[in-house]
Amino acid sequence: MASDSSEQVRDQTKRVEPLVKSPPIFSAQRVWVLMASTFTQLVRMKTFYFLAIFALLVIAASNLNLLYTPVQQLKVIRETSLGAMSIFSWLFAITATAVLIPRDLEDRTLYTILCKPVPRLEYLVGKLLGVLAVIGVALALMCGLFTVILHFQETSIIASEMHHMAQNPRFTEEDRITEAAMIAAYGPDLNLLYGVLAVFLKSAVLAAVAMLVSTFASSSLFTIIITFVVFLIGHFHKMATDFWVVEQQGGWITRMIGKVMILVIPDFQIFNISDSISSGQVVGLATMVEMSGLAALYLGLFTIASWFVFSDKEF
Amino acid sequence: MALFAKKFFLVVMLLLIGGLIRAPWEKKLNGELSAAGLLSNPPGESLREQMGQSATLAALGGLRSLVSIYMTLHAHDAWQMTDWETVERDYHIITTLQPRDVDSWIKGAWHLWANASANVQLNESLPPALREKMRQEYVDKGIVFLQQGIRNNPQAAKPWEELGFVYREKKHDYCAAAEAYRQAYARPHASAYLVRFVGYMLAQCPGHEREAYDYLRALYDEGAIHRRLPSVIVSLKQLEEKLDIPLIQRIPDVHPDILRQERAKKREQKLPGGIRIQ
Repeated sequence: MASDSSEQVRDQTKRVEPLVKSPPIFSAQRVWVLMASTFTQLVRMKTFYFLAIFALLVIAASNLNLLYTPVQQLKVIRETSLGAMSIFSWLFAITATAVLIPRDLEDRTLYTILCKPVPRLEYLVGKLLGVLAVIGVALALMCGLFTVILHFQETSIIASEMHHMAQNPRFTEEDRITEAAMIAAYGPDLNLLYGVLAVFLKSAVLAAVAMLVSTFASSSLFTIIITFVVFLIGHFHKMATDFWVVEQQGGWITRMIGKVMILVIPDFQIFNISDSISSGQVVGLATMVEMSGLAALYLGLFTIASWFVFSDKEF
Repeated sequence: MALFAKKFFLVVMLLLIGGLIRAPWEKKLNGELSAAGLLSNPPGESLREQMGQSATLAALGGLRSLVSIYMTLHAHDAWQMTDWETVERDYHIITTLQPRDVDSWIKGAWHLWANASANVQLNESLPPALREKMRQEYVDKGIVFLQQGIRNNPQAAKPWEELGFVYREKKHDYCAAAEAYRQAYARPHASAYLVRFVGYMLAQCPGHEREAYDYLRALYDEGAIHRRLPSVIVSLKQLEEKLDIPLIQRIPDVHPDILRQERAKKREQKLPGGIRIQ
């Protein structure tokens, strides 16, 4: 009898399953949820109102004609659009990332999230991806809008040029084909997408820097100022390298500080290829892959550094 | 505080190690992008002084094209005020920011050799000799500007074509114009009419008449319709006279001016009621 009861107890013990499963170390689903909520949170801040200003800017640029040649007319649209995209994306990357953690603290959302089994790394990655998603969607919309305007402008300019050349006997069929090809080279093409990608990569790295700063910053304003300073310094990389490293200027302490700065602060100038692309320079896929790889390395480094600071931060 | 310092030190160490990993990669990519003409050097000291701090920062921040659009607007304004020094300085900045923008080189040069030179020529407050001297100076500046554009864009046909035009119209140096047109035609995307312009200029270049005749005759003998345009025929006929080419070797075409007169006469005859148009 006693052995029977002990067997029953053993069976019951076997059937009992743990009530709470230990969470996976990294869950893409959780990151996705955090990213989606960050995306919604940022969209509710009326971020996309910028698109209206952008549309006006592109339309104004397409109607600007200071004795421009047909090619220059298209070039102005390309340059203005890519420039506006660049300004929007880096401004947004700094400000949006800077307000995220303080806003979560203010709304007490941070406590709700972190008291659940959500690793802090996932929280940071989700927040960062949310910012990048907003920048990506905004850039895609702007790219679509300006591609349409550029296409219509290109078509109308080619038609008008062909009509003009057809009336002048000096121009042969070959001349007309060459002119049309030269104008079409400044129409919408794959290179413009590469330019937009470079703009996105630059703002992604900047957002990661802002994330790191915001993990130890006392206020959003502090994060914005420090990230902006890092952004500016990041554009002086080549000048700094030439000055301190190549020309060996200054004392050894200055040179050492210079070298440390060059190694710690990202080189933002390397992503500034959209200027040349808007002027008609061609970029290869391999270069873009390499640039994306470098941006991924920066993102990884700054996210790990952010996690390191944020991992045992008390609120 | 000690914990914060420790963390700060460790974060810097992590970023330093990351920096050491990425430095060679970055250097390689930088080299590739510079070689492909995708990255420009930072503005030099003199340019930074001319642009001002805000424009320099914008240019360094990857907004070169926006700064250059702003400078173009500024130059346009200065052009309307006939402030040639500002126009020249602005285009110097624009072309330094975007050295591969061929149109900016051409437009900057045009402001100098065409607009500025014509403006000083018409300036009656200056003595005639000085006006002529200043006109020549602006034409020369335009030529130098175009030559800089050519050095920065060795494969572009347009600056060479423009240079040929300036030599032809402003300097009346037909030998230099012929060479410029020849260089333009040798480059990709050159206009097809440039092949004839080389011959026209050679025909007016002293001592090159025979070369011009052989060149234009070769074009004529190709037989294509655009190789036998009235201007080719007129040039050939003038050269035949000048070089005293035997009649048997001359081109059989009637002089285009005679053709034109004959056509006009026929039109007159066809008019009903004997109406004549003067």
